[in-house]
Amino acid sequence: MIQSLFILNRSGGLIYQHDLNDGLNKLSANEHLILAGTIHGVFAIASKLTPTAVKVSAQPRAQSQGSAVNGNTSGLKSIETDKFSMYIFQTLTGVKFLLVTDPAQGDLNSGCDTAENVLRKIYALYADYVMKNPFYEIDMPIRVDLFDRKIAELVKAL
Amino acid sequence: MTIFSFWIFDRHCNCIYSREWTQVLNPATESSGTINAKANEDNAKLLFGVLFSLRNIARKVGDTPEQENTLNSFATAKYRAHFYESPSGLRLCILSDLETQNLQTQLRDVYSNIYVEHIVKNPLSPVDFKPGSKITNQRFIRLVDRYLGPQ
Repeated sequence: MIQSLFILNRSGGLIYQHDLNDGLNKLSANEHLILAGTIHGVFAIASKLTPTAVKVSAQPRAQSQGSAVNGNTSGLKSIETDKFSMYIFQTLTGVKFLLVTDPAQGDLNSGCDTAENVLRKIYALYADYVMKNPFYEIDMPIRVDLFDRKIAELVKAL
Repeated sequence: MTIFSFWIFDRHCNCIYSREWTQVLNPATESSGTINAKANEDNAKLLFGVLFSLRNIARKVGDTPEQENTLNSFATAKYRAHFYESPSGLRLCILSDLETQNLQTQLRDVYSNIYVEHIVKNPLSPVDFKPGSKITNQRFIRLVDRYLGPQ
């Protein structure tokens, strides 16, 4: 079940936050900003920590189809905790989508692929209802009713 | 299943043990990789910072009045990091490939059967490691190698 969605702009600022279910703690606006900033930093650091053995040899795991839009080839991708999982999708332009869901059951890699599919759909909605909105200023908080509604519809339909 | 490296951080956030395994065997020492060589490097600090930040996020978002939330692992497209924190604040971390799903039991095993037995119960081992000092107990190193190292 999807708990909440965050969208971060290229510089790590939080531009959208939507609680879709209420299974987790409510955070204040300030805590949301801190979370976004932390994830933005950790995302970059995680790719620096790649073990040397993988750097030289292994190819990244074969990705699900349509991975061309995913600009995240070495950064942080998923976080698993006892109470929730978090998945991160980065577009080629550097916008990050964060999805917080209930803890993954079973295979973690397939859970990650499922989340990526949902995030890609959210990205499509973002492109359609935010970027094509003539009143939206880039990198600024998203206040678009239609986008809110479409996200809620998408999540309900899952 | 491949394990790339193993790290221990004490409750003062210092890296007190690091072990990196490589695919190539060094014939001179009959072992592969490095022991405690990377602990002072920036990598140990970066890794600790990442684990610390993610653990804080996990607790802020997921804590319930009855139970604390714990961070189990995080993954990038190339590797997965497994995390275990003991009640006394000792933090253990393993970096592995993506096929390795869950190493919580192994981490707990290393903590309770190897660390507690050979470091905590060892009267010659300091209670608190000084900044810069490392675990050099040969028996501990050997047991960790046998448990986690490539077969």
